[in-house]
Amino acid sequence: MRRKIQLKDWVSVIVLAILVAVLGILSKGSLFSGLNIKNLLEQSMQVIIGASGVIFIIAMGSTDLSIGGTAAVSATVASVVANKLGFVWFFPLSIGIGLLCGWFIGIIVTKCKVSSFMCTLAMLIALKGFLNVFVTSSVVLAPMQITKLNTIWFKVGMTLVIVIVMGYIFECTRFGRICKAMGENEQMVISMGVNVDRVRIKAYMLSGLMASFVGIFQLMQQYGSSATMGSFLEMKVMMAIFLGGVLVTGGFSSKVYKMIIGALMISVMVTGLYLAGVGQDYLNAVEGILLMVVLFMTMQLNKGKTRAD
Amino acid sequence: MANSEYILDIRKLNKSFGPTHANVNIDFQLKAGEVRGLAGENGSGKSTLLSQIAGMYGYDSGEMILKGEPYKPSSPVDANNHKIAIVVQELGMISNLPAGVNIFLGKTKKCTKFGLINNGLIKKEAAQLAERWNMPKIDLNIPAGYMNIEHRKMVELYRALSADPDILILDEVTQSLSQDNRKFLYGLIEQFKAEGRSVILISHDIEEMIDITDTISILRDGELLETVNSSEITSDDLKQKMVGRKIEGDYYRSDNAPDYHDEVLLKVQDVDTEAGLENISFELHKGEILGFCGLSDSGIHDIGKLAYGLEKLKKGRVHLATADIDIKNQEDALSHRVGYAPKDRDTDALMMDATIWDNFTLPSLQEVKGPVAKLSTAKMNKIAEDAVVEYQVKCTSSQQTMRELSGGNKQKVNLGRWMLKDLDVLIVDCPTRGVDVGVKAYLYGCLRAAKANNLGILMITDELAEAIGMCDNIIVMKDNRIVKEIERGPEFKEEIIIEVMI
Amino acid sequence: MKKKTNIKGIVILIAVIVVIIAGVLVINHLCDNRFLTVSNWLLIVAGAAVPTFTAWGLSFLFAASVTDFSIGAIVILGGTMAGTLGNIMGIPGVIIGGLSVGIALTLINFLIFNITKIPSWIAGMGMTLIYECAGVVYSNTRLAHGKQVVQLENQYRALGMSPWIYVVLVIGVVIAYILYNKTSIGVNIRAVGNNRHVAKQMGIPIVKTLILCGVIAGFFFGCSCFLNESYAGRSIAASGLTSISSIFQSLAAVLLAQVMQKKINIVFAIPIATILITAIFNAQTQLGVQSGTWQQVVLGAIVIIFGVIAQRGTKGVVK
Repeated sequence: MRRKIQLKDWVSVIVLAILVAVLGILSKGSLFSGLNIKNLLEQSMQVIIGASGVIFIIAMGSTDLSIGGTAAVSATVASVVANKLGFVWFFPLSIGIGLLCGWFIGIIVTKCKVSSFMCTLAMLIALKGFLNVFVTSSVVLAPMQITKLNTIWFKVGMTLVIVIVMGYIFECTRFGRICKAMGENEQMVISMGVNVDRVRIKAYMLSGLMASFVGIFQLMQQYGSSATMGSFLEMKVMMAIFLGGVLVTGGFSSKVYKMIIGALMISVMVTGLYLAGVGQDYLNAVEGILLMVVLFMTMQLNKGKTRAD
Repeated sequence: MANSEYILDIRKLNKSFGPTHANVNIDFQLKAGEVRGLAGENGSGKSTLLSQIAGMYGYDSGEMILKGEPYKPSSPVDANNHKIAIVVQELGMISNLPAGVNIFLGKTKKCTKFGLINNGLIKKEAAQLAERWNMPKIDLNIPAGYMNIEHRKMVELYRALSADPDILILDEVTQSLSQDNRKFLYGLIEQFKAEGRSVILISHDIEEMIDITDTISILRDGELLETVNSSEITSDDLKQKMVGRKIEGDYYRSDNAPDYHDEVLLKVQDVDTEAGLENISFELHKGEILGFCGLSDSGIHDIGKLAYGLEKLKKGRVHLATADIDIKNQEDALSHRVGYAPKDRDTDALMMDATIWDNFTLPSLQEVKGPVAKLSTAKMNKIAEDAVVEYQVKCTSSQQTMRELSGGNKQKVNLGRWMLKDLDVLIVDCPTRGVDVGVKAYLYGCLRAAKANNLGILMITDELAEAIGMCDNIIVMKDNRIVKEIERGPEFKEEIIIEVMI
Repeated sequence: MKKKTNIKGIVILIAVIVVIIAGVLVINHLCDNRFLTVSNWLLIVAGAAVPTFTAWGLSFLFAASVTDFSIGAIVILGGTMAGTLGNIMGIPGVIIGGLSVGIALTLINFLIFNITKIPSWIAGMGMTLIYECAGVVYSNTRLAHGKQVVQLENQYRALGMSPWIYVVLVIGVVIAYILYNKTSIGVNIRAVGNNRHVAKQMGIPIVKTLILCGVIAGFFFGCSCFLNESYAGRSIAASGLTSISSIFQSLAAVLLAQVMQKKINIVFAIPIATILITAIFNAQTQLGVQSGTWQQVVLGAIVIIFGVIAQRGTKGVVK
């Protein structure tokens, strides 16, 4: 007998449906035009790819704010090198940098006991600075081979493969369950017999890997990198996960389907509000308010389940 | 109605923590100028009683009358206002604030000049206290976190005295004091008596308690048995009364000799650990229950962690003979048929907000792996559903949240999640802490059945009766060292163990 | 035993001092002796003033174990208000404008943390987005009317200039020291942050203490607001969480001050740390390093390094 379906599992789906309906009406139906749906999909796909790595981190109750920086830097550096030395360098480098960033954060958080919030935030700032070193002085173009891939079918396929693989690891393997158990009670996982440091480092490497995929994704879409590359990605990803109904403390409430619904929600919201005539200025504030309201609601629905910070 | 003879009169006091009845119909009368000791085993309800008097817990039913007035303290501060102060067993200090500030925290208004905290005033107040009560001077400027336990205890004593208490409660204070400071404390108690103020104290040192108290109340299983005059009782009698419970028929094992195989499962050799254990060596055999007894700070709880690879070794080795490997970390232990049920069930052993299903399956994930590392849902379902039935967990379904279960049922999950696995060695730390008698009997039954099934069990316990009732061998520890090994037989007596462990 | 560690400590201290002096001399040489001049150091101290006040505020937040990085956005809004009121009312307007916004918004944050129970770091991010948006909307509205963000007129910028900026800094040290060490509320905040349970048992009102903590921290952020406006003349709106990076110097300083805490009271350690960090950036600028690129990398690295040092010896689970 598996878990009974409860109201709180469906809140995010219901909210998504309401959002689609309301914004569809407010935008006078233009939300459902072919172009906007394509935009919406492309936006959500980036968030979903990023979130399918970060969800491992959130599940254990930590956070990763560095992914925007990792995405931009890995893609940019790989492009620069690939343009000089040949395309063979592109994938090993971008993926390698993603993994390296994740590994580094993992080491700092586990071995040096710096809180993940502070460490990844500092990492984000540093990586953004590093990105600027490349993009302020000259234009960085994506390698030809990458821009050729910029078709909707390739992107959908790439997202699907990633979600299926990561979803499988997260929901169906021991590693995924251990990550969630760490969010429930890390001390318990330690005394049960798991080297949680190693698990956490691996999770950060997965997150870095996914960030590098987002970098490639953005690179092919924009034909090159810029100073705004990857900006706000960490916020969108976190909001997608929390909007879907995952608790801040992580644990077994973390589910891949929630993350996907959350990612759709945030894209629908951004696109829909924009089409409904809400200025770009207000969008961020709406996102901030929504983030807190949803977190508050999730906590209320899981009353007694959240530990105070 | 109030009897003026008593400063504190407690009638029919009851307190429960979930299903555990910690205090049952306690009647307790204290005269002004009386020094009262409380004696009883771990878990007999002494600390609970004191905590209620000091306002740290409210009581469920009954009444307290203080100086003729009904008394129901809402907090320790409220108790302080009624001139009752406590020095608690666990350290209660703010470690990053100076000692002087800690003494007056929460009532810092006393030591302010023009609204600012004045170190001079703190010093003066503290000096007054020192003079008033003949206490040794302490350094007021060091943050409490940098002080050793003894000094911190003295600061806490100062804090308690600053409330100018008529009743001073000391919960195991002497054990962390050196001889010199103990003398000060004895002097303080004398002075309290002379001024017609009262003291209630708990001490593990029975002789000391008889020496310094007027009367001693004996508690057992949450009930107050009797109150005796200290001058009329010997320490042997007192110990007898503390522990002398009837041992029920099939609660414990009835045989009188060790009974296990010769095959060694786990061998610990000459181990020193970074946590402080020294020179630890022992062997655990197939089908043996090996008990570790000692006071809670004697290092017995570190033994469990040590055997499970959770402690950093300075020297020596922990050899798992069944797999012929040395256990270097907890992963070695988990993957080689060893299990560990820690003492602090809620913080170390269970996921309180997850389901029973999640808690039962987690230690067995390695075993339900299918192709492509997929965890088999069917196998996990079977494990959880079988375990709920097998270990008689009282719940609505395996999807119920852990937090909603009673202590006993939580403990069934804590032990059951290991016993459902095919293990060679199981380490249990305080396996029956905070569970009622029925569950206790059931858990003992489970452990005995596992023993008969050739499981080697390392049982760490602070309840002597439990060790004597269950173990083949008992190792007694004191100050992080092994002080005595006793084989099941005529020497298996509480008095003998207490003798060496204190 | 004790003496031995003392000697070791002194050796390490001397080594650190030697390395720093050597480093300073090398840097000074590399930028044509422009680094080690009195005027440059006066500039550095003046530049450190704003981060110092922010860092004092942060140290109160951390003392109550609250992490809130919406401060950067608050300082931008407060600066704008200080500029607006300042141009109307003169220097008193600058002070009132900065303080009122700083205190009010920090207090709102604390109320939200307390009521919703959302972990402060993430609720703080939400508030950052909201405050940033307010700033952006304001500056865009001005732009639509053909105006830039408010510019504090030069005659009212005295607080951000020599000698007043040094005076404000000294007054700040005194106030921070008294509040942190000498008032009941100061020690109560530290007690609540250190061990909420014990603090409660000792009779400290938790909620009241936390709210007051918001007011005190808000006061220091308010000081940052009007100082920043006076120092820089205007506050540029930021969006997309970029305002967070503006308090990173202060964050690094608090972390460094926590390392020094054993030897020096944290209130004094903070200005030392901010001056040190400002000097590092000053040296980089002198060496021709562009801001926003390698300087930003160094900033992130400093935060991580000081974070690692500050957490030395920590045991247990860190998320």
